[in-house]
Amino acid sequence: MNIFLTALTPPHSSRSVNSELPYLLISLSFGVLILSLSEALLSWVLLLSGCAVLIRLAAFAKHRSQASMRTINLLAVLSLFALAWFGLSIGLLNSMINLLAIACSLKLMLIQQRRDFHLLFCTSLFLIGCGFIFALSIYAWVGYTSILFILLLSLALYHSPGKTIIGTSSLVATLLAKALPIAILLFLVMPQLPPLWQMPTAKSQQTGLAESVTPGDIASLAQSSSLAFTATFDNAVPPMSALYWRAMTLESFDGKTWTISEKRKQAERQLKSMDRPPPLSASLPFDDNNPIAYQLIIEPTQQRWVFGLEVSAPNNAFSSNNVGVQFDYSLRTRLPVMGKKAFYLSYYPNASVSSPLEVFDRQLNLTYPTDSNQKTQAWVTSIAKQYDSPHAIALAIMRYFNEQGFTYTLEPNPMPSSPVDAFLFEERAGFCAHYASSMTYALRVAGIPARMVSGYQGGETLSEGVLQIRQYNAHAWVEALIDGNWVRYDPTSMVAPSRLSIGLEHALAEFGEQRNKSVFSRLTGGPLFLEVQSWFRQLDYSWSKWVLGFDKKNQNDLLHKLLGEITSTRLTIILLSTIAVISLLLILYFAPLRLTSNETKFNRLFLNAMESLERYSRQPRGNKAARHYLTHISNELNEEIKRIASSAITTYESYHYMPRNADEKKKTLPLNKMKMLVRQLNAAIAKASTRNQKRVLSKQHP
Amino acid sequence: MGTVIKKTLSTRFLTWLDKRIPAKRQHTLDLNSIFILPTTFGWAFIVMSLSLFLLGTNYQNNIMLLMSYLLISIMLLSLFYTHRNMAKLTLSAAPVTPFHADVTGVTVISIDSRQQPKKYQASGLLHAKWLGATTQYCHNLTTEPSTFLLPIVLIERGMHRLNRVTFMCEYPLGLYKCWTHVDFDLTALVYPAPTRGMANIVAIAHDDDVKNEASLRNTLQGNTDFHTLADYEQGQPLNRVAWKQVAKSGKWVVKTFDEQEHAQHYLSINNSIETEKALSILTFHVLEMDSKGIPYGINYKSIHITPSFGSQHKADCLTALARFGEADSLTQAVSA
Repeated sequence: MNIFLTALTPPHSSRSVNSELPYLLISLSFGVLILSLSEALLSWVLLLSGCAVLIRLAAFAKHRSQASMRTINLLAVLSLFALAWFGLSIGLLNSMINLLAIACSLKLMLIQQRRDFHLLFCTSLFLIGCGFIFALSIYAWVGYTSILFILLLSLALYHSPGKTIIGTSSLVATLLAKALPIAILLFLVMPQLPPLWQMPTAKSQQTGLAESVTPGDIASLAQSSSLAFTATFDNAVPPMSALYWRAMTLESFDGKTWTISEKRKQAERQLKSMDRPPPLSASLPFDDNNPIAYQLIIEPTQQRWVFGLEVSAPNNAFSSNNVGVQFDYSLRTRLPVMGKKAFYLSYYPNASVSSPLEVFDRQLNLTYPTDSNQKTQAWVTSIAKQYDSPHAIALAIMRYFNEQGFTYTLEPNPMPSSPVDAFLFEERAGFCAHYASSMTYALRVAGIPARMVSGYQGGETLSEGVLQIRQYNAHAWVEALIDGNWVRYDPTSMVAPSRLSIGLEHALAEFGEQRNKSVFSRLTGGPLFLEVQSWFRQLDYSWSKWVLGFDKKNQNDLLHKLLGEITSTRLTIILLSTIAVISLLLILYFAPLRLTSNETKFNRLFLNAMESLERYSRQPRGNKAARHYLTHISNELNEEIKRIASSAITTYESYHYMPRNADEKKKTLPLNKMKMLVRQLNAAIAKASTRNQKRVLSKQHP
Repeated sequence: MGTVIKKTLSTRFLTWLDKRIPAKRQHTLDLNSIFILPTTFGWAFIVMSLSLFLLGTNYQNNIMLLMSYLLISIMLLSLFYTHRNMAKLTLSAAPVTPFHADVTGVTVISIDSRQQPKKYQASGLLHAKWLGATTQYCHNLTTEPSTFLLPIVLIERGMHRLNRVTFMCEYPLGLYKCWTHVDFDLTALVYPAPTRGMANIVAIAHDDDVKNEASLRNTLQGNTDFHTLADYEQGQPLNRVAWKQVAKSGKWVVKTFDEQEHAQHYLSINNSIETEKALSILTFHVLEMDSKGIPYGINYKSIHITPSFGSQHKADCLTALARFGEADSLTQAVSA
């Protein structure tokens, strides 16, 4: 009856180490996934997931039974309540991710059937997808692909129990390696679709510029050296002094903080609903001064700001996310920036920022709170009396910064009340936002419409035509409405001209400050470090440009390069050839390869030699041993043939019958020697047979 | 109505299968005989890949797209992996040894991976079941030996044509199931289940004198008293060897019985007893007589077998009992 027992045993009844391995691996990869998503997860969800992984590990170590169904259900109900409670505060996207993580952890605690395992696997795949919302770098790709590898490994182990882990991992690795070319091909050829609907965005803490600036805010940005965006110019990069990347105009001032005016927002909405064309189309001299084309790859901000040079027009034909121009000339995307797709823009160096709605702009940009900053008001009034033109007044204010011993610092003292007064007449030390804020305020007091513009300034050259703008390049400056045009004034330039022409680090060094005060700053200054850093930056840029930024334009360019003009027939050809290439790859992968081993070749050579001897001597070998056969026919052979044949036999025999282990055998296969001997033998036989023929002929015709 | 449609469909299906995968003792699986479709999990995997594609499109995230393409490629490749793994198999079945209706019979199926190097051999779990049945049996191609015992549960005596066997494998990732319904062209002979009961055992004297015939209406134990032990001679049936003695002394001895020298027996049973029961009782006595090494024959309704002994004789008798009242056509097996 024993035989029946083996036949009837269900597959997963024996709980050996090997059968637990898939569970262990899937919980391991789940753990890593959760850690990588920790930014988006609530702390108690993290804790729950950690517990789930621990329970799995404990079950593995002690063969203990899993948690009961009741416990899990209770936990599920509790978690749902908790998530409902917290969900509102963390936004839709994060709630969804938390929900997935909770479901996964609970499932992990109690895997009963195949279905549970498969469910866990699928959810983990989706979590990998979610991970890519937050991490886009090449390292994230490598990391998540490794997690995918482990997931697939656990799946493969689950489905073929008893296979060794090494065999299974090599199987999965080959599977992945074979899948990657097909995936890349699909990636290159599949149409790049625009977003189908708007997805919820993460409500994490923002990086980069905010919609309001309180002097001092931008200084905190200066601590961060993370990338803000990368600009790639087709031709030459504009001069440093022109590199003012406008993000937004801040037109509402409450005495301390500059914000985007609500009136402005309302006006934009109204104008949009009235279908008024945005200002750029009207004011740009399109025929004139050939625009400089460039593209921006913005790090995902989940915001809608685009940082354009002054003045830039979007080129939406290739952007997957449309960019619109607002009436204050700032650029905004239709959907929040989530990926790293490039935005294509054209820069018009000679165009000016005209005011399309002059009355509205004037009205908005002349208001200021009169109850604070009294000293400044008095001072400005006196200046305004001295000069006639708005430009002269602005210059006078700038000159004041230059002449009154102002300094540039990242750590100004706090100025809680009447900050403009405090900055202008007491502290005289501040960051760009202080200068811009005070000057805008002063201009408004003088009756000149002015606003603060925030954005970035400058940038580091990564390579030819590529500028990288980091968070510490954040800047604020002033625009004044003079004669219907918005004119840019940068008061910071009066204090720290090197801030604009060279960079922040240099400007700070002039004032005896350092941007980064950590201990590592000394370490990071070494030439080796800089080289490695630049190499990594270059790698990241290439990744951003060619993988993350691969879009319709790149795709078109690529196909254009390959096939020329793209027509519908060509597209059909592309489609068909893609299918053909994939099929070819599949044939390559799966066609049965009949590679003969060297040993078979060796044997075949020897047998061929014996056959040619047979043919020559006209004596069948039968089942005689080779050596024996040679002596048997030795009368028929000349000395040369005999010698060569004998040494071939010796080679064959010594290879096959000398006692050696398998490894040694593999190494010492005398394939080439055999080849040479067979060639010699054939030549000798040919020579001998022609001689024989001649002899026969001469006998016939004496 | 529904059952009628179901029945016609299933007969249609079976005739189609007969054409596509004809009955053979040995099946080398190939393109014609293998079916492949995604499993539920496979569909879920596809849905997951597509939703990653949507997510990637909506978030304008190329690496998400790349990941979804990678998953789709894995799905595509694993189709070939699964198929290739299955197509390596050659399945063959040995003829079924006859068995009694009260025990579970077994088909010995040998599984042969054609590829010689072990690396290229088929692996994974091979599930087998009788077509139409629900019980699945599992065989691990990786670790277990290449023969596989598939139980046959038949409760009716007679000659049965065995159903097709469904083999299914989900290697390597469980994304696809690859299956085949093979017909090994097997017949199984099921002997009646032996049942203890009264039968007429008629002893006939060894000589031809019919008058010496004595009717011994005995229960089975009564008529065959153990007599003595004799030395073993070449050619005597092995089932009469007294193994205990052999083991003790090392000397081969044979049990002899009172009657065996001078009597042959006919087994018969009262015709009034219900046929199936009668056959079962006769089967029991055939086994008994055989184990004692007494020559016996059968006289029951249309069965007339002259007394003899030996394993071939026993098989003949049991076959006759098993196939009693059977038309020539084979009954299709129903296995549960």
